[in-house]
Amino acid sequence: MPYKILYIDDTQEELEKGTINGLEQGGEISIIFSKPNFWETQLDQIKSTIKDFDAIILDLRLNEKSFDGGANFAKYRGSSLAQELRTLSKESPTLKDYPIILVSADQYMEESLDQTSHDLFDLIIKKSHIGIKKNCLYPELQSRIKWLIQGYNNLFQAEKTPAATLNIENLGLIDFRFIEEWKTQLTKPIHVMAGFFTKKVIDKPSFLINELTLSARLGVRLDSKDWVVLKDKYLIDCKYKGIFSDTYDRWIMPAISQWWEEKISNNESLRVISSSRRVELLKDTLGLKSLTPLEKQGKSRSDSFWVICKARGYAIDTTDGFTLAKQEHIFPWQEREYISIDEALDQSIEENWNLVAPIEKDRLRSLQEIYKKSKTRGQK
Amino acid sequence: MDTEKQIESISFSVDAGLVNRLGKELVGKPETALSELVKNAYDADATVVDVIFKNADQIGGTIIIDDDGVGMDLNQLEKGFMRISSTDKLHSPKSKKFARSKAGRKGIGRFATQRLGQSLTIVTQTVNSDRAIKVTINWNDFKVDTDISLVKNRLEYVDKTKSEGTTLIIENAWEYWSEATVTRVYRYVSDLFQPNYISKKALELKVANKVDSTFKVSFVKVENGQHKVIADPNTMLYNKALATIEGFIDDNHDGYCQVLSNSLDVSKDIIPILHEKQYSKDEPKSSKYKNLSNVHFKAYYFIYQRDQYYTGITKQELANIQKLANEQGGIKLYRNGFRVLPYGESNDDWLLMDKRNFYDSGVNIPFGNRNLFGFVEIIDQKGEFFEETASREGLIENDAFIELITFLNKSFEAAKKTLRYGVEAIKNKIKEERRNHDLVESESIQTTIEKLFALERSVNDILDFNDSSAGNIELKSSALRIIREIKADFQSLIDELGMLRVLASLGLTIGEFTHEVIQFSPSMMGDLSVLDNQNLNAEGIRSLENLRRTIRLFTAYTAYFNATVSANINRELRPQQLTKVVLHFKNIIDSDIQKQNLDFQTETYGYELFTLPMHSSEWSSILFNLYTNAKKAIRRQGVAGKIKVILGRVEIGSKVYIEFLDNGDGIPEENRFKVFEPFFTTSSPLGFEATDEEKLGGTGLGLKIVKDIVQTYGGTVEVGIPDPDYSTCIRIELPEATSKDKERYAV
Repeated sequence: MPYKILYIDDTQEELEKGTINGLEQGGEISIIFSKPNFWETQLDQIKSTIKDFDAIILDLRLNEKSFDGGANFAKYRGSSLAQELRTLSKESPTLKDYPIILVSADQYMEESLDQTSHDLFDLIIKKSHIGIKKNCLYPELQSRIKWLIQGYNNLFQAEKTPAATLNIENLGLIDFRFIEEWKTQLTKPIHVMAGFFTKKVIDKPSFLINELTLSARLGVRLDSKDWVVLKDKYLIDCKYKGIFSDTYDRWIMPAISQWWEEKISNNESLRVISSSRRVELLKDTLGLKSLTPLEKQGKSRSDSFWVICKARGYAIDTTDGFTLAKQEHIFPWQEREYISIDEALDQSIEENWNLVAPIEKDRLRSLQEIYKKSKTRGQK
Repeated sequence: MDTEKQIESISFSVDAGLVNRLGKELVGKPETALSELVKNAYDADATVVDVIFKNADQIGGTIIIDDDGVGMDLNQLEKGFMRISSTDKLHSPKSKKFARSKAGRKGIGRFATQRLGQSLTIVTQTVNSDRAIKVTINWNDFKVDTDISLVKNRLEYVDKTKSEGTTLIIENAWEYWSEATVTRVYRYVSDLFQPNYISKKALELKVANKVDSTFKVSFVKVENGQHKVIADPNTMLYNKALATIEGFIDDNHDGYCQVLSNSLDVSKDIIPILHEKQYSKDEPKSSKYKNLSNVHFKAYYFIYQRDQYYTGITKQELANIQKLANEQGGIKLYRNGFRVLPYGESNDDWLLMDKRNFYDSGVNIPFGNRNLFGFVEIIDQKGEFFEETASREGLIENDAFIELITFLNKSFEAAKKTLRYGVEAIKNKIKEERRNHDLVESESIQTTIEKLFALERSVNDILDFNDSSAGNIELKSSALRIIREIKADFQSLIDELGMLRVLASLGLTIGEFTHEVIQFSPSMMGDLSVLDNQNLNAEGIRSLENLRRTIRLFTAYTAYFNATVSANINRELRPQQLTKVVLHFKNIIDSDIQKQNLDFQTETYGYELFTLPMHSSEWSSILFNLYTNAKKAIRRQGVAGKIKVILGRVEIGSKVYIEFLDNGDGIPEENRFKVFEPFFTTSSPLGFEATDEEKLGGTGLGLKIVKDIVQTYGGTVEVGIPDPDYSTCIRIELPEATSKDKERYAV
């Protein structure tokens, strides 16, 4: 049964058809399209039909074009509608909660939305990225939306306890501060829980890490022939299987650390040793032959890789990384994001990362001093 | 041989032709000539000069200048008028009767007459002479190759026409005289004007006596027996007043005043001016002026620099009157027909008008001595009420005098009140009219050009006074030259503004367009995505690939414009990091670079290259302009295009720089500076067959815009030295962000 998604937009000339085709292909998603209506009518419509829907996609600017080809305009934005919908589901817990996805043609949409508006949405996409940017191609979008819907469903059905939701045998492995926080979250409406988990646990480095980070920490190149065996077989017990665990693979870092100590080496700390040493140990203990160690890139000094450069995507040790700004208020169980020295000196990716953390400024300046000489221009 | 005389000494002689030459050369325009003759009459202590134009609308008319000055006797005629370059003015720089500083220029009076017409008849008489002298001169007699002493001018004695004075009759005038020209002459002599306010009543009572110096000129046209005043104090001064204030105290000691105006909306009611004085303890306050009767005053009121309040006055005329008012403004006092000094002289403030005006906050109605030309006339034949001081300088300040001052002040206060309403009303009307003008912008453009034209006219007028002096000619020509240059500059600014406006609205349209087009993109990509998963044959797969690529290009372009337009919305100033700016730009034009097969490189020398706080959107303009120029140059050169951007820091002077290089057809040395001028383009005029791209090409404003932006921030842009393998380099330097800037903007 395909997931049913309500899509509200004030497009003209049936422009939504292409988008719908793209989302519906493969048959797992079915879009019901609607132009916005007057506020009360719109709300009533949604309230009465929402039990049939699994998700809602809203355009931000619903008030630009008339919705009946005449003079009638919706006088509200998508974010206002979303707010109202979220409030409604808070007030009546039996009313289904569902992912809300925001799309917009605005260039600076994300900047124009304040934080509370951000929290209303499970996913925010720019229309100019859809089908074009790498993580916004249609198959990607489809996956993500399905992932959200499934997650919501699981949350809805599950018992609201850390054990039931996280599906981790040994909860003691997890930072207790997270467990406490998660318990609080579980008392809130589903979309709040879901928002918290997807944005703060899955999408950011935390006690759950993605494959790239796993490879960095194990020091193994992803294209090693035995990598798949390593992660799928030997680390099977470290894989995360709780809510929101399908589609995007995550591994439980504390479990990995424990596994290393127990199975690989209990006197050589994973964190400290070089990638070649890590691979050596892995090969020896597991008997895998085709594991290639990761190598230092650019100006990096250390090969005790631990994180991924957010811009260039290769592994670096935290000593070779610069923490990004705006991470001063992360949860204790979250990890910081880094960029490599090369990236800090020479920004190559025009991405959201903007500044290194203030605490890193002096260090960056010293580095700039060191490498300044190579930046002098010869006489013309 | 007796053909050679015994010559012991030899004297100079003068060729008669000199007279003609001097006339034409010393005296420039006929207006100047005529004003000289009026000035001569002034110098001869005339009080009235009548200038009459008979049939002067065409060439060959007659001009008569008739004055009541001291005239000339035979001796004075011989030694004065008939002696060229006479020393008369040297000997007596001030006039005999009224001790006037002589206004006429040395010795050109006779030539002025020669300048005006073919023949001159002088009729002159002094007070002491029995008869008048009449001399007839025909300037045509003064031929070249004739000794001047041989030219005889007829002299006869005729009956006196008046007690004293001179009449010049110039016949066969060389030019015709329009009213405008005549009015101009009046203006030239108007600063000689000294008002004579004797009223008809005083004349009737035969108490009027022309003892003090007055001077007036009137220009009259006579045609077919009809007299018409073209210019005289009435038409040129009194009638032009913004308002007249007139008042009197009658036989019953009651005071009244009235304000009349042609242009202001003021009540014409006669206002009673009540004295409100308690003459004794037992009496109530009286409204009468018990010590005054037969008092009459009249004043002509002017507000300067507001010609729009008036009807029928030009800015220049009002300015001339303002100038005159410095000397002749104020309220003069006449008693029994005699002027009583020093009341109303230029440094006298007997009514405390200036003092009060100084403290008055209602400056809409300035009411100082210089705003009024007027007089007070008191008829006091028996000497009952007023007494002159022993020194004969002013009146004794007795009760009557004090009442007089009180009456006048009260009258002027009442007049002020009335005028205030009128002036406020007209001010509001003018404001309304201005507001109702829809085309405010084009109006201001017109007005500025109009202002420049008016300035030109004024300069012409002002500097025409003594136009023959070399210093003034130079002053005038340099002033006019500057005005011409300003006009030209202004015009080209307007042109540039016009073009920029066109480009700006084009930009806005593009912004709207791209915003709409963004809606298309997800739709197109959605269907493409579906097609991707279809089982297509080889042809279909090729077509799909093509389609995908084309759509990518399309969306990339619109993304660029969208980014630029959105950036323009953000008007915040921030230090701009050059590496980020270039990176952003490069990402945006990436598809275009692919399409054009360009080799695009960036080199950075130095870290943290921050400019001073700037608008980020302006970088889009700068880079896009440079990029477009580079592409065009590359196309013209017909090579595989290379573009390089070099960023760095200039240590001395803490600046950061960006160099934009290409391997196109280069900029010739002689155009190094011209390329930054507006509308400079090497694109030759396009023919019919020009491609659309070529047509859209050189607006010629690209680099000018870059220069404007850069200079606004205190930076420089110039054609630089390209690296090897490149032919053009545009180098921009901008001040670097200070550490304070960086702190403030948290960069």
